[in-house]
Amino acid sequence: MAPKTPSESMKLNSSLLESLVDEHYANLYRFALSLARNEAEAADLTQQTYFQLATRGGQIRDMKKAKSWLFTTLRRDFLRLRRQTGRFLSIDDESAPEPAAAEAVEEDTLRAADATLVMEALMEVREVFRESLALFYLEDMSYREIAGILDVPIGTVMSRISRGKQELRGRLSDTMSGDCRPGNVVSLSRSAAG
Amino acid sequence: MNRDEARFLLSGVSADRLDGLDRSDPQIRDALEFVANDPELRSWFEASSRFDGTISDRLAEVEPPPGLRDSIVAGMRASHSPPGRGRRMFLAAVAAVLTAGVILTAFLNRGGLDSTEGNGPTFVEFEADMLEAITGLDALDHRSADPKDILSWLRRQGIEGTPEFVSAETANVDGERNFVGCKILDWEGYRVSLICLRRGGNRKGMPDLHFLTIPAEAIQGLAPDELIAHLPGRDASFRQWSTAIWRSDDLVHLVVAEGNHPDPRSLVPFG
Repeated sequence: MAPKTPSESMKLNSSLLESLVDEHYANLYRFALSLARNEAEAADLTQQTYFQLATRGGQIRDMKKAKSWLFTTLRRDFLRLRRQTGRFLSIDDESAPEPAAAEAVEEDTLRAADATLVMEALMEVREVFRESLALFYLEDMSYREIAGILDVPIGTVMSRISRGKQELRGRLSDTMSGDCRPGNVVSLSRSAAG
Repeated sequence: MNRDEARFLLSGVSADRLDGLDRSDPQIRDALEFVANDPELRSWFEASSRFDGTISDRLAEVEPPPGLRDSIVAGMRASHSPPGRGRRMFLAAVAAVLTAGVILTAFLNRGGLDSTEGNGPTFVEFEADMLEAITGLDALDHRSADPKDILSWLRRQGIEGTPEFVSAETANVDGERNFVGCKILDWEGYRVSLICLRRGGNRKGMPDLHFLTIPAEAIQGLAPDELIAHLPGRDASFRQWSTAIWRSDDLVHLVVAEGNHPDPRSLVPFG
């Protein structure tokens, strides 16, 4: 194969970048929304992540790792943004008091929930569990992939998902009041932004 | 293995989407085998998988804002540039040149912009972020005027490798200062220890000397024993800062001092 001219190479890269946008931008946005709990901030984070891909993406030698790179970068930017706004990470977030125990949501009730309601319940889960849950639910990521992105041991991811799910069930139960029963679905018009 | 252990191991695993990475894990394999032979656990696993499926389906219905995709693509086209020239690095370099006028070492030509092999942030980014954190500092995690107490507190928080050069001597290297306390910052997933001092008659009583330490693995492009020092630059509030950053064994140290210090590292007592 003949070597590519710079313009051909750039064209190829642009095409690859676009395919990475199409493949991941929606879930990156949802991940950002679960972290930031704000639509505008989530959109900014997503855009900024792809900006970095365009400027620093040449560092990714194995394109199979592009997805992990994108999610890792977005999370880092989120943490950086929080630092810049003066909200430093709480070191002991995991040991923060647990919310009051709620009865887990029933399966039939859950099926009646819409996307906004589920996202809102997820956004209420404590952040330390939320980020693992979001990666698990949005991207079907394995324990190992999530551990790589969050830079924690696999056992920690297992624990966070396990505890996070319990909390999510409780939050869903809280959120879905008695009005939300099969056959009596409440239509929510609220924005997903918290 | 008992039921609780199996439940724990399978809490992040769904029957209909078990991927190769987790399936190859011997513990997960054992837990799945346990499920297959235990009707009660199987029923739990099926219900749990249905719950997961419903949550995933609902979250996938959350739509990004209209136009986000096009906006991302347009932004990428506009910003597409050769690797290693990230915006923050560019801005950090421009800001340093505009405000300080001079950069003491020629690191941008040598190690700075060429040091972005791999996927990690560089000392330029670390320095820029830490300066920003310091100038926006609102509270310390632990207040103490005793350097021993500060180091001991940091160790109790699990900070690996605290700056041993911090001692009572440190406060007297450049006029008389007092230790104020410390804080633990989170940067790129790494914990950074920040120790603050201030001069007795310092303006507004704000700390004017800061020592930051982070594991060296967090930062790319800084060779062992390499020292990078910057002449003073001004932050957004027009406070003047001088910095020095160097790597020693497994740690990277950053000194940030208010004012014009041609050699900020000299504020650290050695040997």
